Amino acid sequence: MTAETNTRTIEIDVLRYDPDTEAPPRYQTYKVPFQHDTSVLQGLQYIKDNLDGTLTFRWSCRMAICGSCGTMINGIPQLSCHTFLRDYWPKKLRIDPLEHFPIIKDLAIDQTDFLNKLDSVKPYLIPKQEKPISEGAYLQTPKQMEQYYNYSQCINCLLCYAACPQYGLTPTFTGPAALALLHRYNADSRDVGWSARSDVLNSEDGVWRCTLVGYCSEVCPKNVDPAHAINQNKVNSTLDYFGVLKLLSTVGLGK
Amino acid sequence: MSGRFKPAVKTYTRPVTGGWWKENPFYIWYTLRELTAVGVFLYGVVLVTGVVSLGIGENAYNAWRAALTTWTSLIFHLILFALLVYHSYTWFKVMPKTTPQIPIAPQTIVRTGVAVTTALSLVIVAVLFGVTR
Repeated sequence: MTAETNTRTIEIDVLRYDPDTEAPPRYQTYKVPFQHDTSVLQGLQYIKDNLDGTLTFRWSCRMAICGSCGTMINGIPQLSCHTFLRDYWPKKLRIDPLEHFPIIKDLAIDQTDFLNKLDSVKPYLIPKQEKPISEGAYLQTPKQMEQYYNYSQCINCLLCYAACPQYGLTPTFTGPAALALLHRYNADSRDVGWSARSDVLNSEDGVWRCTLVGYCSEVCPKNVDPAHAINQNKVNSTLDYFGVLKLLSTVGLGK
Repeated sequence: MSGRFKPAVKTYTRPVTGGWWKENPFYIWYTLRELTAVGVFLYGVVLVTGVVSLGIGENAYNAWRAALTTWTSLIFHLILFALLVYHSYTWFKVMPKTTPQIPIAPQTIVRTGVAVTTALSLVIVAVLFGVTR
């Protein structure tokens, strides 16, 4: 059977928003031919290349690595390169920009709020003592790496923010990815930045704003489990409040 | 949040509607989990009422006990019991998200929690049954 005979057509409703007009967003329907291996991203690219060059959306790697192409596909936050049109045919498909973020144009969202939150958690190693490159790498054992490796897989795709109703209701919430990355560095044996990050973690908009809906971990394409990162830190935050963490570090059990 | 990154000049913000919790089955189960906490609260109210009536005196305590034996009370308790069981289960279900990084599968944590609680509950019921006979 040739590829031609395998071609089917699916209708895709895409939310359109043009900042140059005062009109609110509206859906526009496109008929897109596809084959068994056509991703939703490729469907959007077909629209852009053949049907409507004004459609705006983000993408880069096409292989679930870069985290650029996150969209709401039938209301579920997903990477459009990691989702296939065949799974929705013969029904229609609806594509929206990621939920809870302001729209810049069509499917492109404004990520500024996340970038500032990511900045606030100091997402980099804060070692006890800086050493020159000539002295080599900061070493750790595989067991020590296990403590944070899962959280270091975050690709900042923001699907978790689109999945989090708490972030939608209270946009000041630091949110799943930023808090998961905060924990990624706090859990690193080479890092001593707990106190530098504790203001963000302990605040009302830190871990305590999370009500453990848990959908962030369900939609994460890299299985980072932000809900786990946040909720184990509620215990740490409590221990910090009562001074237990400080006590543990003085006897060599904490950092 | 303010910071060194500045937002786009013109954007469109979609409102979050009051019906957000109906938009996804995951949110419906979450809302149900939170709502069943009301059942746990009401169970607590019934027990506290018993303690308060005991403090007031024998007549009040006997009246509270008599109220528990009515059909309305029994049906009310059956409903509360179902809500309490479901709510308790949801606590075990989220337990793996609250533990430190440990090399135990999440499902094992949930199943162990449920099994231990069920066993302990049965022991307590058996002991109470033996004591009150």
